Amino acid sequence: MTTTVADHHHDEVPKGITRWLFTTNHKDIGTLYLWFSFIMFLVGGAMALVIRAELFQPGLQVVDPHFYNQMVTVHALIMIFGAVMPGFVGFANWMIPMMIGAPDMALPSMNNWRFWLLPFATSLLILSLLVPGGGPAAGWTIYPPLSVRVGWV
Amino acid sequence: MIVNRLKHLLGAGSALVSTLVLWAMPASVQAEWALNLQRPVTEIARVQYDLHMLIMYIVTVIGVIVFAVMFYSIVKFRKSKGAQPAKFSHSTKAEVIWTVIPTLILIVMAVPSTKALLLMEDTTESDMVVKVTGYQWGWHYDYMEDNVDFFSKLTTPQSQITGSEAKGENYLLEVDNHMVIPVGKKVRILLTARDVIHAWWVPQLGGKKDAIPGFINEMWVRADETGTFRGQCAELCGKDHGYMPIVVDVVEEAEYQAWLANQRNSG
Repeated sequence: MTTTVADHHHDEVPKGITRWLFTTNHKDIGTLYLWFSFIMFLVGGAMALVIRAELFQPGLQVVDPHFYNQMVTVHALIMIFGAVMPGFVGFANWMIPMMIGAPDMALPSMNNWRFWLLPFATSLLILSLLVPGGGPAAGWTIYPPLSVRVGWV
Repeated sequence: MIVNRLKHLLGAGSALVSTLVLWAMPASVQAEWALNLQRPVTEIARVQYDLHMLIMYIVTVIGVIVFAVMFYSIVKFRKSKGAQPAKFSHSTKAEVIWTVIPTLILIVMAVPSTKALLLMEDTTESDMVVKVTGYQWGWHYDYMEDNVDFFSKLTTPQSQITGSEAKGENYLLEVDNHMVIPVGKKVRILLTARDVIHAWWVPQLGGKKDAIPGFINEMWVRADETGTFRGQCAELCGKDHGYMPIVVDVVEEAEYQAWLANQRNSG
């Protein structure tokens, strides 16, 4: 019959989009990374299919050479920085706190912000395909030693 | 028992079979089917071809042995047949053996490789020199001692590339001005580029080297027979990287001199 002022209540569990935008929970963040990685895998995979379609027969059938080089380069960048690395981080976020007996990752807000940078950055990469001049088309030459102009001597 | 033996022979055997096929097939058939490296026409190319075959034989033997042992172990000592795992750990003898044998194999591979490398690097005592410059997207040849230079660009028509015409015999391997060199003479080739990194590669002449802007690379070529040899740019250089081939005509000395005189007059 008493109404206590100080009854304990759970912090409100955020519902909907705010749950995902503002999470500080390593499992949610891990899930975000893994879904992102999967979507990027499909995007990079689509580019690989464009490459394969063009290479199916000798000659140019599907894309022009400059766009083809862009497909190759951006496929690589998306796969490495959009699929593989976020995949690793997703698994790390999920499993490591549990494996070491920690309640969560250190700096949970930064962990969250760190994830949300990724879709933004990857959009920049994909949108670069649409600007005049197109996206990066350098292929393997973006890596050293070719990129530092030494090449193979 | 026989089935087990057959199984492990099958896996190990397929690698063996392909090596034997390559070894047994005459070179002309290999060339026609585009198997193996192209027929060498210089000493370097021959050395590279032989080195490649040697390494391939070694690697095939290693592969056959490893797969045979693996399949045999998996089949013969499977758990469903009551196999007991070994109880020991550590064996200095095994560790020594499995270090020494690979080291010996490596030495056997390193000796001819080093000889090949030294041969390729020795550009001394050449008979002539040609400066080759990579451009986006074509090659420039400069016979510096004779004051002859020209550009060399693809002549395959766009219609063949887009498929509206049937592809010619030298599709994407034909140019307007061929590089001409005399047979039997050591030609020192200086390589550079004017914009991005390209690479000059004619398989039958042996050797491929990068053409790097701001740097002069060098290689040498001494063709043993006359003929026309075709190659391609071998370093991604932009949208027409696949459309800047190389064609080298190796001719008798007299014909070379005549060509040179012709170039000097008309150039």
